Amino acid sequence: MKWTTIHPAVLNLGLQYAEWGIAGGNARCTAMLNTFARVIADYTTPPHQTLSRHLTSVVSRHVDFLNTTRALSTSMKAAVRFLKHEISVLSPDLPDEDAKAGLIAQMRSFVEAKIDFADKAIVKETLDKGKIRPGDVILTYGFSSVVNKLLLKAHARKIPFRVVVADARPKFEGQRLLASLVAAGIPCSYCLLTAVPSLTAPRPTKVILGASAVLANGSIMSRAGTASVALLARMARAPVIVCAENYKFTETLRLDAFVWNELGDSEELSAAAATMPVTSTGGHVSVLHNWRDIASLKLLNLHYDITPAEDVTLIISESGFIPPSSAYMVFKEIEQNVSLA
Amino acid sequence: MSKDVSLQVDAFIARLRRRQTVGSFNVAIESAKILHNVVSGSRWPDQDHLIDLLQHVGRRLIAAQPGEIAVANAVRRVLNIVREEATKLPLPENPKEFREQLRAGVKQAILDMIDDFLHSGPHIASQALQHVHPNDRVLTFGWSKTVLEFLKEAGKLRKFQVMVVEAAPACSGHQMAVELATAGIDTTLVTDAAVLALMPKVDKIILGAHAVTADGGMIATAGSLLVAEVAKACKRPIIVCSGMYKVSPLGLMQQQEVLSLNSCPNGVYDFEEGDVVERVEVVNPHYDFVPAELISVLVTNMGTHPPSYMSHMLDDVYSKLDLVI
Repeated sequence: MKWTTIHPAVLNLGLQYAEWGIAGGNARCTAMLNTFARVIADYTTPPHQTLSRHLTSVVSRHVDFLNTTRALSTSMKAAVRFLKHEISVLSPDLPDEDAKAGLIAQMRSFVEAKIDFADKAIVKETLDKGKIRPGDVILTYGFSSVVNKLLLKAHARKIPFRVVVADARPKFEGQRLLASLVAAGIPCSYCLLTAVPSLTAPRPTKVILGASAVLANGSIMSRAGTASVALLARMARAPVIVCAENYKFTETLRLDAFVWNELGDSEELSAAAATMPVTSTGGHVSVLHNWRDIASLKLLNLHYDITPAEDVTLIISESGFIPPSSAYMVFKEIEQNVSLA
Repeated sequence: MSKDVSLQVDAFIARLRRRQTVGSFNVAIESAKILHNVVSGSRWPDQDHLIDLLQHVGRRLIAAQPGEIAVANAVRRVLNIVREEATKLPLPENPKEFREQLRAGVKQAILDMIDDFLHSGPHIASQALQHVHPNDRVLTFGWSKTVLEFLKEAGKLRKFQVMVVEAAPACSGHQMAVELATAGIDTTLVTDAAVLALMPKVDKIILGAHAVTADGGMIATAGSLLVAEVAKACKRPIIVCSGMYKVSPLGLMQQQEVLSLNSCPNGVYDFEEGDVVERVEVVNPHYDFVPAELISVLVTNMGTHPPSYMSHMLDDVYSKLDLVI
């Protein structure tokens, strides 16, 4: 791929994806559409070409590039599908400037409707239906933007509750959520995934999680470790609520976390230990500093796992409360509405 | 107690307190050696006084580091040795002769017991081929010397794969993975978060214990329960390797003190982020309790047994009279 054919704003975005400066389905999708708005604003149709045909290839090229920095999330794929559809239905007679302005407006409204409004609806629905009650101890895992919004809003509504943020190496994404909740004054506990089964004082009353994707069989694709949290909750008879915007529903079916996954950098596992002075490492040198020299040693850093539908009590989207078994139906419904619109 | 022995006891207590002597294996052997010296280097008129003396020293050793359950186990085993040796001897006609015979018998029995401790690792490892089969995919959690020896023994004859779960925050699995791989075993180090994703691909789980309770459950590195619960949900067998010196005659209820041990948040949350950490309760337990029903088999130096059999085996090495010291 020729780097020169990639818009500098997209190069910059790709770098942020690769370094996890921007992470999470909603954040990555929003950033991509905002950046593509700039690409489209700077776009001019070459002579003897039509915008609707040529711009599609430009978008594809940029999407392919972003895919090399980090695999596209389900949210981003949904946005790309939407954008390509919008380009394809543009009238060839439309002047370029009008077409571009129209597309940019469409993209803005996608972010507003599918993410901002959707999250507001999810938060409102969850709170109005009393899914967070006074005295609740809510266990969550890692960082989810909609869970963050939900908990902040619940606190703003003066519901007294406690949050346990569970987290895991190597990303420690839960610390971001923790900082946000603590700043708002919500009483919080923090633990690693390994401590979740022994959480007793206080014992979580429910689990609220975010999702990267809701698969056709009602399974949830989310940050590695989520499935363990849901499983432990089911064993402890605590309900598991997953908040996911409609656009994260997909017709994809994955039966385990190996059909598709994203592999993180192995160095994250070996290097991170060095930041933790542990007695076993004898100072600050990572035990794994020379792991590449050991022929039979491999490091595996999986990003996602699949929470089976049986471990999910309820999915909440802007369409309302959805039992996991109806995930595919919801997807079909949304798809139909889009094609009708 | 002679001055020399008394100093030895004090020094050992200090080492336990300062955590200079750590790990079930080390503390069990050191405790047994100290008690051996107490038996040989003290004056006592009869077995009742000897038991009193050993109980007194034992209580101090246990109090020095209650988390090291193997100390209490060693103390109780030595007390049982005294009781058994005393019943073996004919009725005392000459108290002095009886005393010296008892002393010699107890000392020998303690040395035999230490020998047992020293060989428990190899004894456990010698059963590895019963449990690890060619092309198996084995999952283990964190560091365990016993499990390491076990897998290395199997690796001498068989080709199999090991997934080592790193066991954050201490990440003792890193050392485990390095040692296994250095021994030529096909090893993959994975994060704690990947346990559920991997479990369907795993044939069996082999775990080490910090202590085994009377009912066949175990106290182990925090996170072991996560692995065990996930394994149960995926219907994968769990093999626990443990020397008999880790097997306690007490049940879970008497071990609450150990289970409530909470480490400092170090490694879980950076102190540099002081503003947040001050307002947050950081939960970082040392140990988990894995109940017996999650364990498929216990491999000890006495053989391979279902966990429910553990209470019977305890009768051979502990006396009911010593449950409370």
